[in-house]
Amino acid sequence: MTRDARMRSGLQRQVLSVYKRSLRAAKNKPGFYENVRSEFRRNAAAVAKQDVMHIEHLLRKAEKKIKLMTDEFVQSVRTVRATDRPESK
Amino acid sequence: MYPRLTKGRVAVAGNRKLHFGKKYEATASQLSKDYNVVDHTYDAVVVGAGGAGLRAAFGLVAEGFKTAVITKLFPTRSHTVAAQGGINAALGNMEEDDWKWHMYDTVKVSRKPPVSDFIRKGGQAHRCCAVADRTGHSLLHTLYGQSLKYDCNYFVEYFALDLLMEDGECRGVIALCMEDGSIHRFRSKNTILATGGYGRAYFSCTSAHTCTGDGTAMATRAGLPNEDLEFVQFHPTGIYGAGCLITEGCRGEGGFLINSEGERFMERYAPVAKDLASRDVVSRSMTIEIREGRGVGPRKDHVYLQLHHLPPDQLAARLPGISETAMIFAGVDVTKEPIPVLPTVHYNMGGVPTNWKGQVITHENGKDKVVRGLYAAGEAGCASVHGANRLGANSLLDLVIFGRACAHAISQENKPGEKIGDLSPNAGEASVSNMDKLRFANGAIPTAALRLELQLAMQNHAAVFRTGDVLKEGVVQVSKAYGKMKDLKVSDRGLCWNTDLVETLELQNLMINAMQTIVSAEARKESRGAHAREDFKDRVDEIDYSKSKEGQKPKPIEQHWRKHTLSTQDVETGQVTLKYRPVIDVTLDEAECAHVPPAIQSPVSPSGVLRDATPERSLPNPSLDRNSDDEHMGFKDYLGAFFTVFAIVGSAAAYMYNTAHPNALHPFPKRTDALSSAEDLRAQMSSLKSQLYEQLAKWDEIQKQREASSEQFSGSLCCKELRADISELISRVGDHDLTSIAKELNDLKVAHDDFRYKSSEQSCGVKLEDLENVVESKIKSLKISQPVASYDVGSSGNAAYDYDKTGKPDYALESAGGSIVNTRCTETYRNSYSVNKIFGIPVWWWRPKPREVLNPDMTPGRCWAMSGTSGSLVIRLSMPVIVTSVTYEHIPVQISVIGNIDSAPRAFSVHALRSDRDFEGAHLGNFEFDKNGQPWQTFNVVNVPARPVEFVEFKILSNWGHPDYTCLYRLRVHGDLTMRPS
Repeated sequence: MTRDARMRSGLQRQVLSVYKRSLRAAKNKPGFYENVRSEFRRNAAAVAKQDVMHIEHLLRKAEKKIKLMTDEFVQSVRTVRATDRPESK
Repeated sequence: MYPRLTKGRVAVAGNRKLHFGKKYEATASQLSKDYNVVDHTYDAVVVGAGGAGLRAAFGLVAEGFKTAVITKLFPTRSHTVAAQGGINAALGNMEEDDWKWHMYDTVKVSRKPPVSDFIRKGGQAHRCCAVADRTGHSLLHTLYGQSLKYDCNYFVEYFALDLLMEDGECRGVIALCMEDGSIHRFRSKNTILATGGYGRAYFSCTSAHTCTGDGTAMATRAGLPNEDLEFVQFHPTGIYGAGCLITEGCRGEGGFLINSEGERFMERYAPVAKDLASRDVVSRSMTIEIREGRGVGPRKDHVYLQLHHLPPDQLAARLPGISETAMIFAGVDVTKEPIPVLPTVHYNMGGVPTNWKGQVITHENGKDKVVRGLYAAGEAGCASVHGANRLGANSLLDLVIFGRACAHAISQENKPGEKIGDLSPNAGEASVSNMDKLRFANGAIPTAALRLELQLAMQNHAAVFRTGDVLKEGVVQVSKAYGKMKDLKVSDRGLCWNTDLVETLELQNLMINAMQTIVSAEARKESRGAHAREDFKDRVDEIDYSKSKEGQKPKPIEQHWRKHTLSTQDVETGQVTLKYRPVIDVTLDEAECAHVPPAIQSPVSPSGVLRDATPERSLPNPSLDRNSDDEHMGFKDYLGAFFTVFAIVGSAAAYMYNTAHPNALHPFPKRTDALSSAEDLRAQMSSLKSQLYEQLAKWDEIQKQREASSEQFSGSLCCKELRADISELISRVGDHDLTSIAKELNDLKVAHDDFRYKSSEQSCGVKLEDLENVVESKIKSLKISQPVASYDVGSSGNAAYDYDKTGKPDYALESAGGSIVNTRCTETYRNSYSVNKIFGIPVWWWRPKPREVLNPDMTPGRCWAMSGTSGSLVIRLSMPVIVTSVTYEHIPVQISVIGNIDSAPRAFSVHALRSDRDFEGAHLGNFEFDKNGQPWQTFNVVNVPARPVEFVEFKILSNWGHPDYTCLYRLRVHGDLTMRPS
């Protein structure tokens, strides 16, 4: 175990473990790998380190997503862009 | 979620922060136009987890298909759960029945206007399998439980957006997960639509808030037609606003409808049957009243159902459920206020057209074409088994049959794990865009407001009262509402549990359904089943089925209406296109069960028996079906006349009783009052007489009509007799010959019974058992309500005891309000078993409180078992009376604990008590039972009390002192009323 690892809080370790499991689950499902990565990066940048509740919420979401990705009937994920959204006033 | 507590700021209730703070609310990801769409693959997808969906899913998983069930509601919360009636099945376990008869009934009902519930009820009861009034509930729970046994994948709280169509075949659905707003594409070989009806397109409907016709709308968006949407079944009395059903039994019990002027308006529309007129007549009359501005409430858009003129105890006894429902859903106390009601959507006969296997079809170039991969079942589908009107308790049957049929058809034509056609990468993009568009809709009209506008337009223009102008105006209004969809405002921009968005999606679906319904209804220029037009009152078939088929040339399909409407719609503009599809006339196997021709010329069977009970006969004789509608209506009028006569006869009975027993029942203590009341009585008698005459005239007219029609009506002979009886009665009324009227009345009843018996042999529109039930209840209610008009004696008890042998009511009768209040100092049995064994009936044994006993062989009442030779019984009478006589009825039973010895009553004394705590009381007399006399013996009281007595004590000596004998008695107390009870 590196020195860095020992310095991490429980929550941080949890996040990393969830991330790792997510990537593993996403392996053979097209679209998910990139999806997981980008979401992780985006949240890592956007969420403050001390915003524990939000992080816990995201963890729960991630757990759900792992469940979804490991579902044998789930094939892939793709991004669909919505067209003709009304202009906001 | 969790409120975020920022330093130095206190979280205030009412200012809840549902998200994590401003910082994260409008991030790029939240407002991004990019949606992640997850792809799933299954062998089959079922949309909807109501009865049909679960049945199909359960059938599929049982065959090994990987199945997903997508539902916006938890399965057991579907609307199926609310089905109370039951499910039809010709089991033949109650009486002889055959599924072919069931088919016949279904076909017959499908062609004619709706029949009142209370007319229908009994006729089906024996075919209708039910779990109390929770059949749907129990069916749904069973199915859900079963499907969990297998490996069925539920996607609960997923809102299906659209079908995924590729090359004219269905390859799955796209759905929105309401919890987190994620979007899922379900690719599958087969898709089953089981989304239910669209009752919510109307302002008043009995169905759940979730019945928004999602499946039919999805089919429309996929470019597929919907069939027969104009056929919508209505129930006349649903609670205003809530839509809960108020049973028609209310009107059977004597309730009636009133408008804003307090007028009992049904008298104008159906002078004879009044509020008991058939379902469609009542519904239409209500709608006309509302349309002419005589509705009640702030919008003047409903009427009142008045029940509070009925005695409260009758309401409590006969309509307990209604009292409760009215209180909960309308806040109305039925004993004091009227219930706001209006015609309410009950069932949608139309839906996505399917064949008998549940496969969705389109109609091209005169041929039905199966849409591959798409099935529909339940209320969402339209295999057209209900035709233009659904038979009661057939909806649950539809669910299981077509749910199962879908599963069967799929398992026959597919194998689990088969290859599925590919989806194009952009499949479902339009749905996502549509959802996104609504999510950011930024117009002027809130979803709820537009929905209400639509519902009111539909309720006012496409409900029961359908006529050209009204429908045309409705089309304009609904189109206008449709156009306003572009100007919607959705306030919630989020994705997690965005109910605003989901309701808007549902509104979109409702709009599609409503538009097609009203356009189809406008186009159908005839009356058929539930679609009854004022301007085209007749059914238009290809030939006139009331005449002989020979020599008639069938009209081409363009000129008649015996065809299915197929409606498609341009979703963008709302423009509806109608096409028509011929009706399939023949059954699948004509050899096994021949079809029921639309209506038939009449070869009366040689025997003259109209409905043969032998099962060999393939079908009931169709000769009755000729013009079944007219037949039905004629019969209704006839029935109405019957009721009215009975009402009059009932009041005659009351007057007669009054006059015959001035002391017993006369409520006026003073002579002058008595005189004036006698005058009054005379006046009433003469009005009664004129009423009878009037009735007779109507009767004759109906009779004439009947005779004019070529049909033989086996009851007619009886009717003539009945008529003679009535005229006889009229003359008696004139003569004030009251005793003979009583006799006459009785005979009339016998004649009537006879009539019922005879007419039950034939099966014209109405089931005769039902008629019997109705008349029975009518008679009962008359018996109850008529004397009640003057005072409240225990009159139902009177009916049971036939005024006993003294001409005076039994005031001790329990069902009339009398009760055993004490059994002081008496020994009794402590073991119910032994008591039951000794007496052979359940009796009140040792207990702190009296026990209700209902034994079919005994008149309902309390029995109380006394051990030993003497006992005492304090009875509280139903009201204070001057006791004049008591009846001591001995019920001979040949039982005793030691052997077979006749029971032997001996003597008793009666005391009048001032209260139930009074120990002495006034002695009324000692009486001895005559061993060799009648089983019932009446004894006149020796010391008639000066004041009315409420408590009476019997001190009984039984068995001539022999401890082992056992006796059964029934005690009655008769007396005179001196004052009007308060």
